[in-house]
Amino acid sequence: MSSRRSLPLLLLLLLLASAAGAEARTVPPPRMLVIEAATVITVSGEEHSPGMIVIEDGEITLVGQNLDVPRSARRIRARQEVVMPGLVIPDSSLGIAFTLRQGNFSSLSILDEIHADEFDPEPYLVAGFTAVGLIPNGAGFPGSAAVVRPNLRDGAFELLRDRAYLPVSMRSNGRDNRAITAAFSAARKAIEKEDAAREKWEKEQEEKRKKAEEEAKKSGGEKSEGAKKEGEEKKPDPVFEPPPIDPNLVPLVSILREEAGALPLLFRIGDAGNLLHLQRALEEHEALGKERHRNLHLSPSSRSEQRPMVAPVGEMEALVIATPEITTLPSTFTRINLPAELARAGARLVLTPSSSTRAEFLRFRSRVAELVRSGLPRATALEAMTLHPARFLGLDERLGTIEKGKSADLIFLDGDPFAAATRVTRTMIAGEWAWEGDAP
Amino acid sequence: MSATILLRLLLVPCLLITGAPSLPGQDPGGREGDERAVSSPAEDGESPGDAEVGSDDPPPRPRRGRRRRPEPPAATPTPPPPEEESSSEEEEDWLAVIGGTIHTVSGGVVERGTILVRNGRIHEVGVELPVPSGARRLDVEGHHVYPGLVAVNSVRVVGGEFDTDPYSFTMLLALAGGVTTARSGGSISKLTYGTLDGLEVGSSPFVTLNYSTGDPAGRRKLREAFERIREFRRESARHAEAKEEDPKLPDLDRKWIKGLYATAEQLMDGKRVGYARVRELAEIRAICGLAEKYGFDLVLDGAEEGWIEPGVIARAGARVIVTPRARRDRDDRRLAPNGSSIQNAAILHRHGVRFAIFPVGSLFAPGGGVSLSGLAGRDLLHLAMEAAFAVRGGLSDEEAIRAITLGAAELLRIDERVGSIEVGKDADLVITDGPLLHYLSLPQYTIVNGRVAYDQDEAGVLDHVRRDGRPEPEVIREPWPRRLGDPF
Amino acid sequence: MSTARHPRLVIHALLVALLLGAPLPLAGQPAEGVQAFRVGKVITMDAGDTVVNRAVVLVEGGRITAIGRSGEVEIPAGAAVHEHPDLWLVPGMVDAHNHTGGSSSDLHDYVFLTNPGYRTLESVVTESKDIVRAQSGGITSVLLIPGSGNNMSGFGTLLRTGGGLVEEAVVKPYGSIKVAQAGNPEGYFFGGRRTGRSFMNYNTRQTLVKAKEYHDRWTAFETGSAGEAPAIDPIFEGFRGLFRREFVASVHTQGYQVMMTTVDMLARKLGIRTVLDHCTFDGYKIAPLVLKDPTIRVINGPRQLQFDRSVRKIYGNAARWWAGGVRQLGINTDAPVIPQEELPYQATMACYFGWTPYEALKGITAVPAESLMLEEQGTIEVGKEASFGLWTGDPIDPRHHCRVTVVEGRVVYEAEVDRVF
Repeated sequence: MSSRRSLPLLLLLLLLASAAGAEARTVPPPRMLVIEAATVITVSGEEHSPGMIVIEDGEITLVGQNLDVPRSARRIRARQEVVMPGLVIPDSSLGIAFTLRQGNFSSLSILDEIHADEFDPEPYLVAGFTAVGLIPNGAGFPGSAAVVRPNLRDGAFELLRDRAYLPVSMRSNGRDNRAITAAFSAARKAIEKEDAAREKWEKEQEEKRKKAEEEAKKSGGEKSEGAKKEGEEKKPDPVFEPPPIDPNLVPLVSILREEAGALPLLFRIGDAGNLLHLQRALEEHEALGKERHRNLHLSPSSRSEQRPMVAPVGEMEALVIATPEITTLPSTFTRINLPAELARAGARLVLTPSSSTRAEFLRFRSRVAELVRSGLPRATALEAMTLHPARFLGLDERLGTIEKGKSADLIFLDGDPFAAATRVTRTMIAGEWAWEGDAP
Repeated sequence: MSATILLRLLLVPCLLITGAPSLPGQDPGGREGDERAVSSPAEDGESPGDAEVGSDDPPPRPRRGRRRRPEPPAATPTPPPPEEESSSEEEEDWLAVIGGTIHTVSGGVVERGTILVRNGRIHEVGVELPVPSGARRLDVEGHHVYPGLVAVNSVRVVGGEFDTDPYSFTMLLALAGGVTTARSGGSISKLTYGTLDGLEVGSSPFVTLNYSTGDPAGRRKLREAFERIREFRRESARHAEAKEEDPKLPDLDRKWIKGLYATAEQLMDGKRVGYARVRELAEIRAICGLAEKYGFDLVLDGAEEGWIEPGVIARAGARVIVTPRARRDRDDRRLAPNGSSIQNAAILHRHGVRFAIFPVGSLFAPGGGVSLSGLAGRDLLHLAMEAAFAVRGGLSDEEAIRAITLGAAELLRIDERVGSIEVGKDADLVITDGPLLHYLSLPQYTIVNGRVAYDQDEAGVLDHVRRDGRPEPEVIREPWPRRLGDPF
Repeated sequence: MSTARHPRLVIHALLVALLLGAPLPLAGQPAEGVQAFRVGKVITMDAGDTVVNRAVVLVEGGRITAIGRSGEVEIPAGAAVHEHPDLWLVPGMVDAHNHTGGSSSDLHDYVFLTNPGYRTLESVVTESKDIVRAQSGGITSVLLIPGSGNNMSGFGTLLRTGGGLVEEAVVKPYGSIKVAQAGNPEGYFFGGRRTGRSFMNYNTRQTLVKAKEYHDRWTAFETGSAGEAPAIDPIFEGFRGLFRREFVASVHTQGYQVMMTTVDMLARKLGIRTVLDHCTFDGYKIAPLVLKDPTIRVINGPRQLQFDRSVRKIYGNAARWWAGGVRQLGINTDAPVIPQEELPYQATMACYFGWTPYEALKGITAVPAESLMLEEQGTIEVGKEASFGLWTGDPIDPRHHCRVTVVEGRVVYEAEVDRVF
């Protein structure tokens, strides 16, 4: 064959080859990352050992083992590390100026209290928390929580969602149940007042219309035509102006009306007695018994009875935010792994650090490990730190697992997340390094 | 799912925890297949077991110049209420307490009787009553059934509708002592362990009167308030007459009736009951004199020297909270009798004074609490024992039991609801394995509003004592703590 | 003629009467003549646990001279007969741990770190308010001991509740040496918990060792093996009887570790006859140790119940000791922690929480008497002191009460005349 004839053949061959190899050798799009890790814990399904994650534009596109990826993709070698979804904690007050309130302050947002120069994102990132619900302190209705991404680089945090949920305290029988009853009955009254005013207004409007029709009939159809010919501007339809309402009742009214944008409620309780008082306070408002409000935050206690609530809470499949502690049944020495009991009974478990301090953030995983050693299934524990809190905060489309379509919020650990000496080595948010502590 | 269903779901497990009685053994006289959701008097020809109204009531005491409080409903057991309209089977909750010796307090003793409870109220009391199908059954043969005990005061046992912890350990222990209703400050509550349903009974009728010798100015102010209100009532009566003639007459000014004056008015109207902590005879005389003069209901707490002149208390129509073991040593230097007496309750009773009994307490803990400090038998865990000391002082067993049931309920003005085993009253019962006042008897079940709030075996706090009736204490092997993670 | 106008005549009359030897009703001395008590039941608490129904008990010179059924015992002519056919005759009760037989300001003297030489004998008030109440509770003897504010606070006095002169009421001027092993002394002397068990036990041990050495020196002198008489030391003189086992140590002790030390230090190593008082909390665990020495006694109280957190149960303290095998088991009040007259009610509570009534009654009569080496009381037997109570029924049932209390044959309390409890 002459070289002149073989050249187009070669080109054809190359084209064919490139077409055939299209799968293996695509032109790399910009900002593709590939993470090669010793283990990838997806939380949504299997754990891959070793595992790979493909990220494009900060979003996870592929997860698996032995994936074919373009050589031009930027590789992150984490062959000694375990990668799992960034931890999500639904309630923290670290970095927020401490103001203890008591009363109904539902109109306030925690964002009003956070000052960027007072908020330190580092403890969160070091502990592996990539999304954090910030919650105001206080009894009663201290204000709504917001979800942020800690950010070391600019601005201390990035807002993910304001007004994510409304915490309500029910830890002190006598004070809190009265406050809750009073607040919702005030909201109910406001609704009734508004409904009554609206009814009255509509009646008035109806009467006005009737009057106008009658007058129009009297004067005949000419006038109206004449009015049209003269191009008179038509007055805008009157709109009902509701009576003014206490801004702190607005979120509660929205909840009772089951409006689309109503906040989910989170009830902070301390024992089974609190739960009974809570249910009594809420029982006359049907909207409050719905699933979206079945969220409990349980403070640990070895002095008051908590075990009686396990069965009913499990039965209603409530979401329970608990701290990772082994407590004692009151008046005994018998220890109980209450989070495990709750999960076993059917509750959707969320685990959160024992207190909003840097020390407890760093201890969080090892405390959860203690629960796992004492009967909490590993998978439940992992979900409790990632997917379930993300779901509670309404962010589970983007956060909580390592799956295609979710944001690349990942933490890298130098061992199994529940092993004793494991530490977070680096944290990634939306495909970018948020914190690189002890990168190998 | 509505919040009410949430509540109901909570009820069921709570019943499981406290031990919903589901005992085997059919009542041979019962009609199992019979769809009788609502009872009517037994058709078997047996009497429903209506015992006679007891004639133990003390002779009526003369009341001079006092407004009578409206009489409470008759103590005679009324026939079961007529059929109600609802009556779907699910709405009816029946409990049958079968085979025990029933001490009704208001109407004698029924041997081997049955108590039928419907929706938390006593529906029928009798012998060999037919039990509706689906009823919970409690077989208490060989046991004694009493009305639940009433504590006229309590500390950290209950706290009112909003404040009570329904899982409090002290509440459980008070139930273990047979207490089913207790006053705590201004509210009166049931010991509904494990639920808030039916917790609230009402508010306390008491208003505290300080009439001590150490505060002469206070005493004068109180007397003036009463005097002024009395004058005002006369004025009101005259005014009412005048108004009939001239309706345009302006109303009397009432703006000054607040504070002490409002208290005095409420007392004289019979709406509240005066409550005074008194020990010495002089104090008793003074406050009873006030009650007699101005015609208000009075409760004396203590009245340790009441036995010396019981007529003073009787004439005022006052009731007493007696602590038989209260101790005030006699001062022999004084000629007049003084000091406390173990016979206080018996003497008061002989003179027609009505009373309730309350425990003495100890150095470490008050009588109204339940203490595990170790000094036993002096608080609500042993209210029955304090009543036994009144028997020591000469009171009969029946009157002593009355003083911790119906007598206490009357004192708190809740006797329409509790205090005796009568049709229509709340199903509050304490079931003991021997006579209540005997020191070897332990409550086996305590029932509040028809629900077993304390089951000795389930609660597991005292079930090891004389287990199976064995008199010898058993050798105790210390169990290792349960392993963490093991299922409960 | 009224005595007010002629006092001299009265005095003369009295003097004449005295000279003629007319018997004056002097309180505190045994009654004269024969007395017969006809009762419904006698609970003797003797070795055979004999109970006699429809019985007669004869008393003379303060002693019991006969016990038997009504038809079988002959009542001598001229005897004073007490007819109580409905009452039970029960041995006088003995409270081994009492702080109220003395004046109310003499609970405890904290002058030195230990005051071993003090004697409550000097503070006895034979007719104090609590002694009167004791009578009304059927209690005929109490061991009046000092408080537990330091490790050794002095000698307790064993006295009858019959009133009268101190010499007449006292049975044993050295009734016991009071030792508080731990559980109060920590806080009292130095104020605020500045000493611990190491110091307290050292303190107790060295005091007792010194006392023993004193006793040994004197014994040596008395038996001739030493030359000179040692100096008399009033602090340790009283201890001689202790080391001759003529009286007991009554020890405030509780919790198993503290009680182990008591048994080891006092009973085993120093050879002291030991009565363990309180014995509460988890002290019952040392029952095996107690059983090894047949002279150790357990008198438990005032706490009669203990909440055991490991199993969430309320246990009776006495029931636990009994279940552990201790058969010589008693009960005390630690008056005024529990009022003195409620010694029987302590037995009631012990039974409520699991002990048996007959043994509980023995625990407040025969057992404490024997424990304190009070041989003349505790049972109704011929030759024993006529100190007993006449009860309307079961003394442990709080519905019953004591109608008559007799001490050394004298009626010291009659509910008929002046009902106290």
